[in-house]
Amino acid sequence: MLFTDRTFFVLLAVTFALYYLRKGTVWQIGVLLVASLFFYAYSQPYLLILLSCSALLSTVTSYQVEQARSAVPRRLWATIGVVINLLVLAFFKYDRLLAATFLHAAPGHLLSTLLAIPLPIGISFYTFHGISLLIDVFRARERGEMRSPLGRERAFPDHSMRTFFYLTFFPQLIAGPIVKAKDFYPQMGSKRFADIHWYGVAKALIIGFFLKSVVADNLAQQTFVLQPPYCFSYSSLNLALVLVAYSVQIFSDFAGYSLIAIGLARLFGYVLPDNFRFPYISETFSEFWTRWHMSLSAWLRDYVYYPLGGNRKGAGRTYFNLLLVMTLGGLWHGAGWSYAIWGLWHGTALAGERMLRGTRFYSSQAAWARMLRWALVFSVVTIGWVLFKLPDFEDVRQLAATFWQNRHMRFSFSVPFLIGLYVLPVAAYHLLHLLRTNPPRCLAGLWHMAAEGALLGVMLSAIVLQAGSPTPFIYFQF
Amino acid sequence: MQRPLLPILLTAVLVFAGYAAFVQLAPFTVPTGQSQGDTNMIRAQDYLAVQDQVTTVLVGSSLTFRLPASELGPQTANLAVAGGGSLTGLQIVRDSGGRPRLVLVEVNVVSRGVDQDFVRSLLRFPERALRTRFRVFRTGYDPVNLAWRGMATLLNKADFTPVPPPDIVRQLTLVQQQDLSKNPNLALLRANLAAMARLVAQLQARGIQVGFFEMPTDPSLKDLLGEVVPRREAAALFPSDRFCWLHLEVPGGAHTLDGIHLSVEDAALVAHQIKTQASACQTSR
Repeated sequence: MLFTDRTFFVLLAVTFALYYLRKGTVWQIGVLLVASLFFYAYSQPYLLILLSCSALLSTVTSYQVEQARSAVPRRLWATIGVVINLLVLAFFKYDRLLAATFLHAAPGHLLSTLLAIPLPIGISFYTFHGISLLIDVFRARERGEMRSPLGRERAFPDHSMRTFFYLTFFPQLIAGPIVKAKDFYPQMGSKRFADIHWYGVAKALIIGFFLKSVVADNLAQQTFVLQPPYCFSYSSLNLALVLVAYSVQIFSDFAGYSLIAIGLARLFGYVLPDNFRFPYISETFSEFWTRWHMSLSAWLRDYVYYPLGGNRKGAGRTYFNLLLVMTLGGLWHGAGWSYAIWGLWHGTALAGERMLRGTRFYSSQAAWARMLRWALVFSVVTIGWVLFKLPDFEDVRQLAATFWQNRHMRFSFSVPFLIGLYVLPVAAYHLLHLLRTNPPRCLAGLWHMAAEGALLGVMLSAIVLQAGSPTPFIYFQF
Repeated sequence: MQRPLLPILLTAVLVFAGYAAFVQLAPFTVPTGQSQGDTNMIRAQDYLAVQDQVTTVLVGSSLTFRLPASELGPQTANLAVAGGGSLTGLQIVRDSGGRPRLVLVEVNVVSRGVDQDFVRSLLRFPERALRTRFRVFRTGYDPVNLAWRGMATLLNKADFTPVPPPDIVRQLTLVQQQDLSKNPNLALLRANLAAMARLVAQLQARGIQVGFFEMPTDPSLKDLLGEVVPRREAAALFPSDRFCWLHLEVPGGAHTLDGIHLSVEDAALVAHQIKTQASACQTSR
């Protein structure tokens, strides 16, 4: 079910009414749990089996980690939980990639049948949530903390309900944000209708739906031309503009989804972490990764980069860690070597930037240096998105060849016109953030409540007037 | 203290109402959109608005989609769906309740089934009812489509996209040759043709005549499997002794933009042939 489906709005209304009908943690979590399972199972009910098994695994193992009285069983249960979660992810997500690379299954063979199982939607997110739960509980116990991240010690049925809820909460179930167990469990409790922060809910939902329905869905109608053979008919300059548009589209699609998820969670009294903080104003690659898909960056940093030693084991090891973590992060996005190369591309950029950190280019605060740094980051990031748009290397090769071949072709004005109409609001969204956080003297005081309200009103009307044909969220495939 | 929602709602209502009033009173129509998808929807919505006055409906793929309305005449609606196939148009005619005298079905692209999302969003309540009364709910009057139309009028251009140079046309034709050299999925083809036969029978039961045609393509593609097999299967299911078949051809071979989509001149020529032969098709019964 998509957040843009009509059925979803019916489900939301019914869930909301039932949720606040009665107070009490058990009732409210129960309502959200049922709604979440219905939301997940709506199109493909059989996927519920895998989700339930995965949730049961995380429930049992995390409970055992929590209850273990000594280090050995605690470590054993944590390892079992993490390894099985990773195996589930590997089997259902990376089976085709591994089989295509290392095995050759004949049609009709059992392996071929297994490979035909479609990718369960949201698997990358709920397995990462499960791993986060296990590691958070394990670390808290290892440190001898009396208070577990799960809250006070509970009986198994109560722990089961809470863990299933954490793993399946519908706003974040399919495409995040990835919320850590230690941040989510303490929020579980009885919620009151009077405590809903309506303005915050409205703001997140309006900006989220605007980015998704108005910007991303309409840009999708323009950016399909990057795919060969459509790209053959476009001039190089047109294609470069379309690539910029894809950069904006993928941001709008995913940031839009995250904001909708955040707004929906707030409606039920839960705070999900920010996932995007104006990433396209970044002047360095490391800054970019503190602004883009922040919940995944934080997950990789806390559970992979730091355990590998982070930047504490010398320069060489730091570069290696960066390359490894980013490559793994790339592979997390999709079961294809193009995603691994995309990760490596970013890892190389991060390592290179670290190497050149002391140079004038990175230390200067002059406007020209800042502009150049911004242009470099935006260009490298945008070129990297080609591997997301075209996971087949042959398509990438053909697109690159077309850039060269069509450099003298006539420029089409329709491309910048249509793309500009959708890219401008996103550029303005980033610029407004800059103006609000660091206003020039002449504009100080311009931004106030009424201006923001009016702007949100215009965005709301645009959602009604200019929503594009709904397309699946790009990150659903991950 | 909570910040008020009133400024948001008030602004949204004012902007929407102002825009709705503007497009309702605007002295122009918007026949094409920012994308193929929008133009598909605009044409389908336009058809629903005037379906009682339409005598002939064309259904098909992007090959038929490009035929110029000026050559087809005001009583012919082009319900071909770019990126789709004939089945979508047939289902729209069936489900919309229209009763044209003749429906002409393109048989080049039969591998694509019904675009159910498209049909649903076109015909569902309350959008369909709202569109008949208020332009603001019609795709053509979306702000960007309106701006697009304004830009085209200002620059006096119907289409901003340049015609590809001959070497690109050759390259694209080669891609089509590779695609069409492969054996088509026969099971899918037959399933779609069976679905087509059911829709055709339902239209015939309502007194609507149904005819068929194959759009001309680049001569190098004519004998490739991807063209031959659908032609053969369609001819077997809809024999010419029971159904009217139009015979469309471009003297000297069709000129295309990419192997399958006709050049502007040839599209006009074929549209004219369709108009002429359609009337013969109707009188032949």
